[in-house]
Amino acid sequence: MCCATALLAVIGAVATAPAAYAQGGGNSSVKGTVTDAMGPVVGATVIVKNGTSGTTTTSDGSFVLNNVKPGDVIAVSFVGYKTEEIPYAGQTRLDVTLTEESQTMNAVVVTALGIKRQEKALAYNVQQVKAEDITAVKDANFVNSLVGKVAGVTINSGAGGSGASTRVVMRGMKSLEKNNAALYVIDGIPMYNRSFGGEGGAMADQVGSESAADINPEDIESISMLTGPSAAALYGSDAANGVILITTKRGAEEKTVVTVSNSTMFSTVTRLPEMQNRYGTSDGVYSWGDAQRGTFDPASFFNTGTNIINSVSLSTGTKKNQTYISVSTTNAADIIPESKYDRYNFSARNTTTFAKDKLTFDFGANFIIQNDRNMVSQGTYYNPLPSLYLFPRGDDFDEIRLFERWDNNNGYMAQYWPYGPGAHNLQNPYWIQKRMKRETDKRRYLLNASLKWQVTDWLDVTGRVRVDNSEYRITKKLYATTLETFAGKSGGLTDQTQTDRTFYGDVMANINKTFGDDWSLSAQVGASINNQRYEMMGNAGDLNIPNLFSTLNLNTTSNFKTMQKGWHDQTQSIFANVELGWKSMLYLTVTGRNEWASQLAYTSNSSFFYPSVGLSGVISNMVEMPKWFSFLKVRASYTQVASAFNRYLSNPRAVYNEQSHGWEAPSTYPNDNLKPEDTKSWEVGVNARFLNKINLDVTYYRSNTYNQLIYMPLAASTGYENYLAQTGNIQNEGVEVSLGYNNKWGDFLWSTNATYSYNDNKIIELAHGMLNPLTGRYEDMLEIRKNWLGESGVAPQVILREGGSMSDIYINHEIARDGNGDILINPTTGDISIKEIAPKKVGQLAAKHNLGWSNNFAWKGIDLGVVFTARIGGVTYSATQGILDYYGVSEASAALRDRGGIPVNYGTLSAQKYYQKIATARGGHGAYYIYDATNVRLQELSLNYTLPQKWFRNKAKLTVGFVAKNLWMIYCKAPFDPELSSATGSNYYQGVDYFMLPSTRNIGFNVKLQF
Amino acid sequence: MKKIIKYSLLSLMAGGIVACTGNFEEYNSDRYAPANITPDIVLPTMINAILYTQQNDAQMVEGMIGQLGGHFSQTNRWGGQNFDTYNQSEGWNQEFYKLTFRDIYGNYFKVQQYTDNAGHWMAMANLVRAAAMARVSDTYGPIPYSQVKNGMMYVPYDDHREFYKTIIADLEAAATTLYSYSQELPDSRPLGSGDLIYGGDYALWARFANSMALRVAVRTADEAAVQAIVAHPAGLIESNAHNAMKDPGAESNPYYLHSASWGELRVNAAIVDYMNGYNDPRRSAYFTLASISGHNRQYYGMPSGHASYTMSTAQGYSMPNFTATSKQPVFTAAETQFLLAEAALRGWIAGDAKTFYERGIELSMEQWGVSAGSYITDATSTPSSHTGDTFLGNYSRQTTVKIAWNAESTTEKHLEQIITQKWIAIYPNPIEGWAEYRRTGYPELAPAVDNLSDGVVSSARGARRLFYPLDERDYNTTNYQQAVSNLLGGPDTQATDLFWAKKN
Repeated sequence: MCCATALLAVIGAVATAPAAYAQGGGNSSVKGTVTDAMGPVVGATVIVKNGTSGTTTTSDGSFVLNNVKPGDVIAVSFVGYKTEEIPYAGQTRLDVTLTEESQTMNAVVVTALGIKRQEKALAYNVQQVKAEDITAVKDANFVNSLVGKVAGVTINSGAGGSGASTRVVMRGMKSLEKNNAALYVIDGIPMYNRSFGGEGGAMADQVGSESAADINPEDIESISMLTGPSAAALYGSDAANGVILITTKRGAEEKTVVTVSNSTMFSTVTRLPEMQNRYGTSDGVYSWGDAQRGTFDPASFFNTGTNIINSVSLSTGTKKNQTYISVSTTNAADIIPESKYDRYNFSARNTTTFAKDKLTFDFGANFIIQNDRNMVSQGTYYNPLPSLYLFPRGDDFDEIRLFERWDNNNGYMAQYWPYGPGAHNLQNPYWIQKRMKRETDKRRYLLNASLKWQVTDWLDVTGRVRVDNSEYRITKKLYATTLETFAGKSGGLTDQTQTDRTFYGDVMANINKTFGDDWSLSAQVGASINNQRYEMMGNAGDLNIPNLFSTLNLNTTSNFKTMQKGWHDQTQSIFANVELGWKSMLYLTVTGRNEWASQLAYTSNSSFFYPSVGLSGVISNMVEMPKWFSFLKVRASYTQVASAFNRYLSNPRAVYNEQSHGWEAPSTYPNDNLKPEDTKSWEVGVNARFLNKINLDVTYYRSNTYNQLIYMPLAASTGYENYLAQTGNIQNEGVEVSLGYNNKWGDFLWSTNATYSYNDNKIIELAHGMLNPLTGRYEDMLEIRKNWLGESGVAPQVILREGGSMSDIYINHEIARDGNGDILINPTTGDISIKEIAPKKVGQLAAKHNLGWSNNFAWKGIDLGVVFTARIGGVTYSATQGILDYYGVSEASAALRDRGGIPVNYGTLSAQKYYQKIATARGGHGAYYIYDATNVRLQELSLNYTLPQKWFRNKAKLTVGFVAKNLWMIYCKAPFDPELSSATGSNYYQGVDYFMLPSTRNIGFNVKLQF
Repeated sequence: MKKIIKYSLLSLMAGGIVACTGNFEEYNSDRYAPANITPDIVLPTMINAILYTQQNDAQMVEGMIGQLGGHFSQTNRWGGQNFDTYNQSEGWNQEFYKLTFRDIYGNYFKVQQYTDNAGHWMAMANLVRAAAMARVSDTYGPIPYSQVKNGMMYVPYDDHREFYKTIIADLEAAATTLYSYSQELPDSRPLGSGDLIYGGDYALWARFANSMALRVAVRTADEAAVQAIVAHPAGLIESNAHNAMKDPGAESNPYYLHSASWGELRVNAAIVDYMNGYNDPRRSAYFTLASISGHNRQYYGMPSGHASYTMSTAQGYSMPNFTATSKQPVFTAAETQFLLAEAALRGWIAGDAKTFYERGIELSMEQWGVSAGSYITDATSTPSSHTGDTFLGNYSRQTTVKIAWNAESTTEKHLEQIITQKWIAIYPNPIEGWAEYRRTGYPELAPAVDNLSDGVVSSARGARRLFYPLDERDYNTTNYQQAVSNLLGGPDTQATDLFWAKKN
């Protein structure tokens, strides 16, 4: 900790000298700022033409240029902008607004720290997404709008419908047991993303939204995606998985803009499993009965979903003070009855400069109300789909629509469902949605303030704090006659409150200095603290008085649960980021961060350090290039990031059993020699522009993650479920390519950008030399069997083996054959049988190739946007399809009946006998229900028309548009949308359909008025 | 000077933020959990593993596997993979084993560390472990036991005969320690209300340990052990006041939940038919009246072993008659008498088998609060067939075994009497019932109508054990393979007989 003090002291010492020197100048000096349409431009070059004096702008765009005399010409330049030349006539103040050079894209990027940097200095890959790209086709969760727009990122939308949590993985999964999700950083401060995405499985709990979804897309100015770990020096270990850097809007200078917008989307169900109604009920919930003319159509259960987003924002300000205020409402009703997501965003931000422009104070406040109701993702709990899909086809579904009926004995409405729970906790699907009310009410408060002190023209010091608190009340109100797996006779109630509290604070010195004509220095040195607390309390149990949903009415004598959990994590860090530039063509960046994490308590390491180094060279500035070769940059960087293991691992305590109210010893064998996880990665890249119209960015990367925590499963006879091993080397190697082209022919403008990513995930080493604590010997672990993607012994299983990937799946059963290769048939019953086999690899869940292609066509106010996405490779498993086959409700089962059965050896096997062997009630055998996950789709389509502004006397701008999302699945062989994730919280339960909510096709319109 | 102050302030700001890590140990401690894992907080969890109360665990063990013991049936077919049709899923098959090992050993190791392997806490832990593991081994066959040790990742299995000897030795040692503790400190109840069986009364736990040992000794025909157990000063569970009855505590009686509440559990036709034939006065205490057509207001049980049927129709069969707060029988005085009756019948101990037998029936009647009447002397009644079942079909029962001791004359018939009456008296304890059925062939259970084992299990003999858990095979492979080739005495299927099982 004394390090931080020392570092800052050095800055102080350095700062004093040149300031003294500057006072000695003879000629006059000029102060000013350089801005562009969006705000200050940082790092712009301000020079006296043909003179010796020059400087660069600081992080608020200001500069002080010395030794200027009347008659001089001051040139202000910045890559990507037209150079401005202003004759000096004795002005004391010079404010310059740069305009973007047409046909030059991505020259300026928002990087770590939330400041704009010249792209040429960056040694790593940063991809920018503009606000229009997110708001063109709005989604309740803006993360979904990023799909297909950047290379190196895999985004899986949550299956839970509007506002559901997403899964964002950059450059492949790195960690076996820890979260692999990218980090969200808002205005330079990391955000804790509480996700209710779930872990998957047939008995998974209610799912919900995530903190990232709270962000109002209208408040976003721009998004930068750092797919590599390069930003970790500034944001800490969590940035090892890549960063989504969000810059929010601030007030405009000397103008007032009011924006009113509406987006209305309608969604309809698509990719419903193919089902039949021409064979009736056999017995119970089976539909292996006689041929019939059925009318039941499961699609009739689904509604047309609506998602209405309204927002109003006001941006205003003077040179000294800018204000931004916005209000937004998001109201989504899903395709599933009673499933809703509502959000209300209020935000305000004020930026003010005072004390002779030496101090800038920025203050922001956000208040978010978010509620979700009865969201459905997958599984057999809180999911109406199993009852809907399996509904016996000879029966009358209209009877089921009358889902509750008066119970005279008890004096309440009772559920009508004559079929019992079966294997899937079946209940009346309407009851599940209307009388098992699952609600999450959230209030979130975000306050942030920063104070920047412009110490000298090349040094500023910024202190920032953010408080981000969320309060949740999560309830489940289960009415009397709900299946008693979930509630007692008189109903049940779960009522819990939880809070997340984040405090982040940092202090950072920011240096921007040039030395003569050749050398430039940009450095940030700082210290930060991140404090994260979680508290949860609740009660759950059966009711005494029917349907009185009060915790006072809970039966406390039996089945009563009290819940309480809480944790407190804190990290403290010091960091430095130094960039040295030479002749605007060669840049060297070195970073380092030391982090003290509370999770490391009770181990021998109290902190860890990680460095990075990067080199970037602008070749086009070094050597003479052909004229058509506008720009060429090559870059290389090496980054190391360490991260703490999970809290309490080094200090395990007894575990509470909510049901028995007792305590038990932890089921994980402890490891008292834990080390922080370590990721070492390097990347090389090229950024090139041709004819000022074509952009090509290519990055090759490789990362290796060591000291991984592995929950190595143990046989029950050890007394433990698993052992906390630590070793391994997971490698991700890949390529990110982004190719853009834009051109203008008269009024017609076309810009297009294609992204391609390739990632190869490989387990180099699983666990060699793992210490067996009892024998003291080192043991090799060559295989780890992870999750079954559904029912044990039936579904495929993720097995980790050296040389394989982290998402390799294996099957373990096949139809039994005899010695001749014929299918084995039981001579008495005529049945085939399923035989266990040694695990056989059938593919990997993660797709190796991801493609996105977005296009914008503009002509006289008409703007057409088209985004295609494709994922090539990977496999996926549908438990649903197997279950539907097993019960005889799938179209496949009917088609096979139409044909009289399936040929087996030289005879025929009935459809029922066949499907009831290759599938079970809890999913089909992996060997027969794995599908290619490759898919190609029209992801987004938008057609906007901006009405001629002269109609409004140039005082207003009105845009109306037609938008569509997921409009057309061009290619997909799986019986469901393989890009939906029903368990965004799991590393392994991906690409699995277990009665997952089907995907939707969304069509709507946008109206935007600006004045 | 001004500048110096400026920069010093800056440095202080930075220094102030990166302050100290002094609170990190506090942050990295779960403040809602006890810091020390002591025997009194983990023994109640271990005791749970002797007989599960937790709704899902009890359903998986007593409810599902219990269908094989003739006490229970399931109205839900869960999509067609069930124990009573011999095709249960691998996931379900391994639950009993995994649950018990998990709940016993993690906690057991903590007691070992805390007590240094001695004293009354350790005796309790050893007792509970032995009682729970005996049930697991009765179900699966040889298991790792004597070599299980904290930190041992691959544990060899015990020879099955040696396993039972060790179990008896552990139970007897525990009985001795707990008995002498109770003699010295008769009013001490170290576990207190955390013990949902005996409220911490070690004298009763000593009787339980001794009685469990007797159960194991009789099952394995360990004559010497039987004699030693009977002579143990701790005594046996001799009167109903000694009964090990488990209070559901914060939970509900699981059989009540599964039947009256969930509608999934019914009583098996086997026990109802036997008791109907015997006109058994305990029926009103054991069962509810059926509401199935043709048998309204009768005691009418549900046959097991059918592949598929409609759950709603099956609702009408008789349910087990429990309330949410009913205690679960773990070991009752009646069972002790039947064990002694068998020991006497085989000549292992002195005494009259008939006396023990009749005493067993009387104790059971007393336990359930019904009057025996002339039941014990009924020399004519025989078990009923299952008749008039238009839903799941009938079963014609062959046995004519009577209640009155003197109504039978051969030793084999007397054994059938003892086991039959024991099976009725221990209700509901289908895991024990199934073990005794496999050992003696009694009572006469109806074979599964739908045997879905692909020819592995003989319909006439039923499943003879459960196969080993996937986890043992995958994560303890070498030892598993050795157990199957050297210790089990047959392939790892449900058809392989354990050494004490009746072989034909």
